[in-house]
Amino acid sequence: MRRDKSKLEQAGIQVVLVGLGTPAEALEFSRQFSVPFPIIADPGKDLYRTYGLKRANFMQLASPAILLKGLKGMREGYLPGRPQGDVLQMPGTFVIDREGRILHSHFAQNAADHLSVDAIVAAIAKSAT
Amino acid sequence: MRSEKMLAPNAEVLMADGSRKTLSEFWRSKPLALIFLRHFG
Repeated sequence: MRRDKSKLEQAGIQVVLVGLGTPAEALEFSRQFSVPFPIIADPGKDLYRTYGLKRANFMQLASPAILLKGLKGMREGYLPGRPQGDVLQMPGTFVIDREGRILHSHFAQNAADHLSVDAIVAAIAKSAT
Repeated sequence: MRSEKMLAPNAEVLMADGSRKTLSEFWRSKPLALIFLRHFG
């Protein structure tokens, strides 16, 4: 996502991240990984619950596909840090237009499942037609 | 015909710098990709 920041900017899309830690943990995460996006701290998971994001089961975290994806990331230099927050919490992405309408919802099916930047851009582009 | 889209829940949120905003402040300025992480680290 960090690598695709310019693509998102060109499409007129802003990214805001939501994480489970405190503001201090969010700042440390931002510094450690050079995160170029604003981060919301949601230690109580209130926003996660509001948006309907659930906790994972074992296979959603530890299937062979997920482990392989993790190894690939490590080969590319993305080393895991010390997890902070509920490690069972599943991620998701919501693409929202300027009127506050959800154009696309993505509830991750496993720990390695993320909505691509191309899909985010496409959701915005589709809404303009 | 434009299909009806669900409205995103608005909420006051706490930012990493300690400030407070509402989610609508973000999407009113530009379309928003709100990305929920698994965890920090």
